Amino acid sequence: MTFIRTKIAALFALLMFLNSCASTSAPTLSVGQKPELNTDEAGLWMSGDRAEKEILNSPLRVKDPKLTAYVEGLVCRLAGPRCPDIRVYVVDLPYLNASMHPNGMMQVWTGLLLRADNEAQLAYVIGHEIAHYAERHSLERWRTAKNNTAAALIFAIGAGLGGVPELATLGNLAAISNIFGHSRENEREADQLGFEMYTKAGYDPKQSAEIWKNLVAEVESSDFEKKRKQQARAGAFDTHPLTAERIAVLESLSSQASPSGFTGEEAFQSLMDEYLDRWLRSDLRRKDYGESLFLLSKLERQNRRPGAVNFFRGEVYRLRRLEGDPDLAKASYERAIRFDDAPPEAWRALGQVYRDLNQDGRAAQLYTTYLEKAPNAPDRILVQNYLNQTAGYQ
Amino acid sequence: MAIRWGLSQTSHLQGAKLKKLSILMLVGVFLTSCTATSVKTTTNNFTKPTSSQRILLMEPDVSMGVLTAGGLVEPRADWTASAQKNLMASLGSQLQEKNHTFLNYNPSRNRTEKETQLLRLHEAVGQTILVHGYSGAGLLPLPNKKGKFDWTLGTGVRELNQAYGADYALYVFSSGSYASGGRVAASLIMAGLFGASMQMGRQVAFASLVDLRTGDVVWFNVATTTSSDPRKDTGANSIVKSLLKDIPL
Repeated sequence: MTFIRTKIAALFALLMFLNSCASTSAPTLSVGQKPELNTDEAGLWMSGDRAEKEILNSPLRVKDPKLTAYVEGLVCRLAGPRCPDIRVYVVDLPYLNASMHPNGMMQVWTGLLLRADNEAQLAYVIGHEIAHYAERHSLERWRTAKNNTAAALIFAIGAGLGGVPELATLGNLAAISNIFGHSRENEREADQLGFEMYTKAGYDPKQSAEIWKNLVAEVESSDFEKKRKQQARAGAFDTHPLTAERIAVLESLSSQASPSGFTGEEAFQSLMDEYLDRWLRSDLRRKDYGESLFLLSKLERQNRRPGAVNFFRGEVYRLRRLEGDPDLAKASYERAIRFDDAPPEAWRALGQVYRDLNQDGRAAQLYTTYLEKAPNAPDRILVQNYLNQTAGYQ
Repeated sequence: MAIRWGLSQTSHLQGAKLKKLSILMLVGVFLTSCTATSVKTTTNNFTKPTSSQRILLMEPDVSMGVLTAGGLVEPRADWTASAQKNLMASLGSQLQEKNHTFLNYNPSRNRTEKETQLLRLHEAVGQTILVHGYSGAGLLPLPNKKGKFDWTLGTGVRELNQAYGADYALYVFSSGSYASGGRVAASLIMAGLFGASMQMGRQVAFASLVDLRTGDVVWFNVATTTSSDPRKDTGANSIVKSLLKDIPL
């Protein structure tokens, strides 16, 4: 009986072995290439198409024609002949990220736009994403997952036969860690190819590492200890390589590359001028005030819109409410309204501060300016009502 | 499966995972070799739609895949397309027997954000009903819903009522998997060696009828089967027949 069992198991293991050894690597996608409908790749594209339908109708999608045209232009410059195969959507999410679906749907998050110092840094990230698409990394990742879960099953059967079923869990762990390990390899490849793509387009090679360095510094100023500690720790279940490793690789790549290149500062500056308010407002939603203050200081050093930077710094202090924060908020708002570019809300926020200090006269002046600057403010009636009341008392 | 650039490791697939979880749970309850159904009718005020009332037939949300040896469901575009087509055709012909005017929801029409939100809300409510609306092993009935079936999408659904001039909307969701050769082999071995059973391919579908004035889910049905195959006409017909059981139309 045992003999038969062993035979069956051996036969089965062989079958499974063949199955699990299916190659995961896929050749580079050629321009315009679409998968055959009856393949695993078509299934992944279908999932991508569904996600795309959702993002098309999502309230988070940024529809601003100027901004989308800018990002689309950047994608085309980097993707060259692949440009028609890639559709990019700007999504209003305040984290430093971009993503690529296997069907050519790319997302660029506003948190990335806010954190890039110049066009070159943005271009580097977009190049990295295009590399994921061209190299079919989603497909490879899926096939790796498929193979490794099958291998884990064989291991489980083996463990069961060997009389130690508890070991089966080990097989699962190994499988999962292999899947993540493969993902990190893909990331390294995309880092490399993305780098090539963006230097070929003429960008300054040094900028690729800069965005990572900024990120490290930002995370170090996070309010959350767990987050600060996490970035230095490598785990078997990380999808991405350690940031420190990526910086080292990119610095070595850029030291070998030709030192010339442009940063695309001008186009980026005009983008920043126009959208900074919106991106910073989104950033406050993260409620990581340490990181927000870091970003604001960086923007200040880069001489971005002083009115907006100071207003949002005031907002951070107002929301954080640590000891001394109300005074810091007031000082920031006071500084903000000295600049023409301050958003109208700066006057309202400072008006509120003076109202709380029972200085109704000063509050009324500020509220009046707010309404002058934002005649269509949604809270106009409320503010006007307050102004009428205080006028009655004076 | 999307690949991301930065540090974030949160999953895009959380919704999909929930879906899978609820489907898994369901099977614990309804698993059988033939088609099983479980109809729920609202406990809120409700009168059967009159024949003059118009029903908006939403585009069925269909996804078919292959269950790999290791237990992952790999989406299949060709199977999904044929199941979608067959289920639509079966719905069309079986609903024709009902005395109502049916309008087709046009998925390619430019929808408003609100409409998109409503579609997603319906899916979320439907999945919640699957997990929390039934009692049984592995399911999580809510104590505050004891004896009540009062799930609703809220009056926001009037947007669909106005956009389409419809009184009710009929939603259909269908998800299925088929065991791969490797999976079948593995299950035989597992059964032979350890007497253990492995999850094999199956179909889960649910349908709900929503009142487009109150938003109430007035009727809800789940059908699970391991024998009917929606990639074929006959299979799709039989699933739709089970699914539309006791629909108050």
